[in-house]
Amino acid sequence: MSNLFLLIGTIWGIILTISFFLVIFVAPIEIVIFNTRMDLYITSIVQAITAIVIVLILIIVLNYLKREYLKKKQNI
Amino acid sequence: MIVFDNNFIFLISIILSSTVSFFSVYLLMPKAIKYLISKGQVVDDYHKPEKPRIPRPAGPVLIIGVTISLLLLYLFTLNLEIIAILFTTIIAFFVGYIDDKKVMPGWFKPAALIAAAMPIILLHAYDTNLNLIFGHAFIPLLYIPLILIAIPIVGNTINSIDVLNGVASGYLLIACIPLIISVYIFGNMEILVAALSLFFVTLALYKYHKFPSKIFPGDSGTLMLGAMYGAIAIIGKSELIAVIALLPAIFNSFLFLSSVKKVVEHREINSRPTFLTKDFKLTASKDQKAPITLLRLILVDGSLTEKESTNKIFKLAIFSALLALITIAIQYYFVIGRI
Repeated sequence: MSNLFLLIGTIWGIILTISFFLVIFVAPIEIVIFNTRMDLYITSIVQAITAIVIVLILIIVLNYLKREYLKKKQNI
Repeated sequence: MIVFDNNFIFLISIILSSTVSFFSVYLLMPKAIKYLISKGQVVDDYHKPEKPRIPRPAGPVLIIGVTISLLLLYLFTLNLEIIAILFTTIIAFFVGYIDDKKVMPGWFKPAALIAAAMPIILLHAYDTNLNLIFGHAFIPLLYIPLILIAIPIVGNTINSIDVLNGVASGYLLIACIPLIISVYIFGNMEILVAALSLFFVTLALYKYHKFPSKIFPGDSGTLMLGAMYGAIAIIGKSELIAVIALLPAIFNSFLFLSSVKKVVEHREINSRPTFLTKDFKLTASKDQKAPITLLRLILVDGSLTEKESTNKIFKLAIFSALLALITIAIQYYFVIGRI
């Protein structure tokens, strides 16, 4: 059971890290090419791609954590 | 929109909305239990030795409580955000009610709950600035798909954690505490009152849902409470706080999906993740094909009674609520404290 607390705590740490990364690197992104509303769409597409990549990384990390947890509890 | 500029009106709306939400559910539930039993709308409680027949669903009573209290709040505030929360909750209720009455395929609930997210978008009840603990991000277009994803996820997350007597309602009660505090700090007072309505409706449900359950919330109950929680988190600018408060439940959904590898109903799974021993203790399945769930992971350390298993899930819920409270403190420092 204590391992589950550790696991939840680790996921929380990952969320904090991702949030920090998003605030520092993704939030300031503002692409200006045409000086029109098109720039808003381009900026949103870049933000969306970044968000999807981050979610995919998160899924991979969570899967890794799950596997490691299950390895420790070999009887499952 | 009338903003609470009068402390007296604010206080009256809190007392009225909270009282109505709690007592409407608390007083109507015994009548609903009798009615459902008389109509034969009961299901087996598999985890008890005598397998008692428990009435289901409690969703219709819950939606009455939520609707009355949110309509009262709307009359006080004329805030369309309250209507957005109400419609989201009502649509999620109907999605769940259809699933309660008719066996639907696994994709139905997540797909249909996208409709429940629509009132938030159509009434523009969201802010395009997403609070990200250490600051915020301006995401004018990306926020809309996020809402369309978030409501089905939160609704299904509360639905998926409804595995034992009192777990879904008790878990939601615990998760409501950081949400209420976060909405108070980062959201606005009207949404705070809506969050209190959710808390008191859930508290009244817990009275009848706790071990040993007198009624089950059903899909209509769990989906509407989950969707309401998600809507309050979005409109109350507390999205990440809500995610952290719900971490064990979200992790439960992730474990299930990643082991089954498709969106299916629990009843469609051939191999159960847990089973009952002869002395009516819950035990983790050793079957490699059985889906992995939070309860199965908890039971890996040894068999537990239903009540002991519920308490373990509540301990995890309290732990994640504490993490959410720490996160609120961090976010307060970076988003408000530095202004």
